[in-house]
Amino acid sequence: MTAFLKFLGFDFAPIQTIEAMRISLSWGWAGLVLISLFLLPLFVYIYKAEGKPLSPVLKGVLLGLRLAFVLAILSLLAGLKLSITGWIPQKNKIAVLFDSSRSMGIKEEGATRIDRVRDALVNADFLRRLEKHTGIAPALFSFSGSAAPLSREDISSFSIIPDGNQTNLTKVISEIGLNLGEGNLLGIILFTDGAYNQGDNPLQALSSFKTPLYFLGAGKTGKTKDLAIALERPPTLGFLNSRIRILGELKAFQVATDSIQIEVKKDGKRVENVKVAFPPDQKRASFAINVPCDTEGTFAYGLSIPRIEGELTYENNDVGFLMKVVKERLKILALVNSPNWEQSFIKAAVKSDPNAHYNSWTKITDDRWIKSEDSVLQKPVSNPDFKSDIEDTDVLILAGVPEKFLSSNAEAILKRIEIGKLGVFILPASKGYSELGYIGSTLARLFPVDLFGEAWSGISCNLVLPVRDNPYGFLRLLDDPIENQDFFRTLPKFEGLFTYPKVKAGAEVLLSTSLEKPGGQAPGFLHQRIGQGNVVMLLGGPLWPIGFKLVPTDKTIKPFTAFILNTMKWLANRKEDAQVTLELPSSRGFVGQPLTLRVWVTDNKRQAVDSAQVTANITSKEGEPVSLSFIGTSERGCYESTFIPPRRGLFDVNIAVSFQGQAMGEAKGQILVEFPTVEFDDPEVRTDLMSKLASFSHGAYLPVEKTGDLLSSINPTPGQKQESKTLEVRDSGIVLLFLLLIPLLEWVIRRIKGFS
Amino acid sequence: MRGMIRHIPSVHEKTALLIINCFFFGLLCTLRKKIGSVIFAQGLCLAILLLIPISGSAEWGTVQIPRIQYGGGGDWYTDPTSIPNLLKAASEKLNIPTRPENIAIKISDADLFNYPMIYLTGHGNVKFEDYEVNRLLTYLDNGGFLWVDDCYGIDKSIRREMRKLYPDKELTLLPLDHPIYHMVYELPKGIPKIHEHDGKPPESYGIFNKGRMVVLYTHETDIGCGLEDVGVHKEDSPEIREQAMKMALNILVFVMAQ
Repeated sequence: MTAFLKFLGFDFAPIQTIEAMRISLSWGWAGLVLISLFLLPLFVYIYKAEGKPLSPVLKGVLLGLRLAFVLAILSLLAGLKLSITGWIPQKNKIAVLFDSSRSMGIKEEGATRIDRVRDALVNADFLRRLEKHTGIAPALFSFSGSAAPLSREDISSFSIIPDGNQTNLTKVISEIGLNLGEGNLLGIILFTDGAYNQGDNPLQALSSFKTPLYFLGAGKTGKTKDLAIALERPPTLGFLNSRIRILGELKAFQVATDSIQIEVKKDGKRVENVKVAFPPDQKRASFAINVPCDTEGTFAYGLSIPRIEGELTYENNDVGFLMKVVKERLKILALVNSPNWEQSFIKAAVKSDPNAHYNSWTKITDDRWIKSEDSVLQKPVSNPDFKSDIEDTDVLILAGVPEKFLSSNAEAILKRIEIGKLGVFILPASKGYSELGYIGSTLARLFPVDLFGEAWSGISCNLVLPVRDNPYGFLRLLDDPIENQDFFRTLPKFEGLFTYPKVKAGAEVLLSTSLEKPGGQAPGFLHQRIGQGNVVMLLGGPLWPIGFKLVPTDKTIKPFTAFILNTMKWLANRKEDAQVTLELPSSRGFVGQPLTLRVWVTDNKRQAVDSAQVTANITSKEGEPVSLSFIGTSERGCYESTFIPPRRGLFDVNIAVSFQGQAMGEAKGQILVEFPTVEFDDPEVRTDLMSKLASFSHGAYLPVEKTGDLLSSINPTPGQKQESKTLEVRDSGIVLLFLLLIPLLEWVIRRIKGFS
Repeated sequence: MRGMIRHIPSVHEKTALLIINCFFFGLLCTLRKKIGSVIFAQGLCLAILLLIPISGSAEWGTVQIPRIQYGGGGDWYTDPTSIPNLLKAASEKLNIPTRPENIAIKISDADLFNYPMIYLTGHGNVKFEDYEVNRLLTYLDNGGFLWVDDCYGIDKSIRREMRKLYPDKELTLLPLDHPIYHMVYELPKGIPKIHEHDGKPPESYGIFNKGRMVVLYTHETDIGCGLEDVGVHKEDSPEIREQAMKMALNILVFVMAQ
């Protein structure tokens, strides 16, 4: 059959062995039958109408030829086709990956892990033997955070340098499988220590990976000695005469100690020593240090722990951060619709900070408002003017005031938020905001929810801190993240919650609640960004019992005060009073890790400026300066660029902005760059992980010293792949020729017999 | 501060209810002759009932002020209608959500921290045990407020107990320009005299902690009696009762706004 089809001119490539063949029609069989039912009798009738005297045999032959021709024509018209299923030989591939992350530079028993890989490759002549065993030239890659191709020469000269700052095993293996084709791969061979520190857990993410993984583990377990210190998101801003709490963690591998001393330095000068106790049999210990902000300015703080001989690295024995101490008072303005306990307690919490200044306007009746200036009550007035207070405040607390009282200041409020000069804390109104005139107003933008559809749910509920790690320090009331989550769950309940059908795009849930709604838990505390400013909205209440009720049970913590003050300080979002504002994601950076710098540009009318030319000149005491150009983002007046710190040290960032050739302004910032030490966080060879991954994928794990033995584990049998192909019969010239032959044959017979 | 919580319909729900109601009302009017007056009247009642949820509102964070059930023998339970009347007036005149109930608690009660403002009154001796002093101090230091209204005869004991509470602080006479006399109503002459006892002028005293008034002591005035139901104190004229209510509302608003 195959030979016949080939004779007809059909090409099966790349199928070499046909397993199944099926005939079908584009019109479907029903179409052919229906048209045949009409045409065949017609042809028979025409044929009979000729009325020629024929012998029965000849009559049958001629009729057969005529019908065969008509049927063939109809079949071709109906799109006769052949569907062929068969096997094609697989072009096998094999990938060999070399870990080039910094942990491969760890030295054990006189040799680094990467040295062990090199020795194993040379001693076992591995790549040549692998090629001979499988008949395939392996694809070579180095990897850390992602994979990069290597040439055979790179391996011959072994120019792999362990300088990758992070290891993402899951991403690397998945990418190789995707790019080379998982089905094409005989296997992936990895020379690694298995120490991953980025991305998903490979044991979960690669559990269904089909390609065999062969691990050649480099390194010796239990030989690495190291002391390390790390900080947990150190703050960048402090207020004069306050104290900032710095959280961190100490790690000790193969070091027997019951305590470690931390030396705290400010601008290089020692300020204090802190002794942190190390629990027995523990490798890690958390610590907290209170840093006093007693002088205005920007300061580089450094925390150092002792260096011991033979340590894995000294890079993680020092850590630092930059902190700017400002003297301006935190100015808060509350606009309150009616006297309530919420205000009374918020004010008390704010007053506990000597840097905070609290003003409020409370509506007693429609024509009687009382102002409290820095907590001193003033004489009542009938028509308050909020304008000057709004222009002077960092944070606006909106507590149920109808829109009509704010409409004249709406533009000013939104503008100040957009330029990052004002944050807003919206407290629930006693009867909701939908009836206070905000729907469809300019100030509707403030709300992170669509007010249309607002409803009160009188079911008491708890606040729930989402499990995901959040970057907001004001939600961290307890140092331990697990305890912090439990703590939120056990706070006094809200009496009820306002629910909304829709949370606006871009808004995020900071705290949800135990109230179940279709689609999940109802939000309790929402955040949205407007330009450079932030708005948060509390959807339920009351909040005050959180602080008040907890007082008698635990006098050591004031969670309500901490929550209110932290939130206010975050909302204040202090920016320099300039047309050009530099926004750094953090005052800390790491060598080789990109930092996104954002610059906000406004004109002298505080309007966002598009199409400005923004450049940065980044300098440090050592090395060449770096120049950057910024490009506009989707947010008006916002420009972005990426800086990859080339070395450790303090970098000065100088931003220059011009518009239509005219200089608009400058902004300055500083970044303290350190070595990323995550590669040394857990310096042990992850033998268990590699063995399990090898087992899941039907591969193998061997120590790198036994590289030569790996080949026996690799099955070199070439694979096959099933493929299908469809052939249109009318595409064949031979079939067309046959089609022409039928009427020709009829004509010849008729001529011979003298009928035509 | 647990209050009666009612569901307030959303704007969607209100609109839907209004449309249904209009349609139903129109239908009733059209078919009035056919259905007869009795059924028409029943339908009209139903239409009115349908409108009720539209005016519903959320009630949360309602204000309650319990009285302190103290030891020492004094009649802590006197003037039982005074606080409910004050709360009723606060709701009606100032739109402050309240629950006008006469509640009594002891300082040792777990519920103490449910109420940011407490009320103490009576005629006889007032005595706090040591553990009550400690608890009350914690309550006041962390945001609570105590209003002591001398109904007559507690002056000596309350001053003694206040010294136990704040040995280093004095009861300070509030001047006439203090905001407490000007919050809701202007009371230029200060606290009004409701009942005459010893011929002394009415006075208000405060104890301040970190700039916040934590205790208010109203003496020789008897505001609580002036807040009682009509007829309880037959000698109180409507004007006198109004003065008492104005002062009490000023006190409540001051405590919430300070």
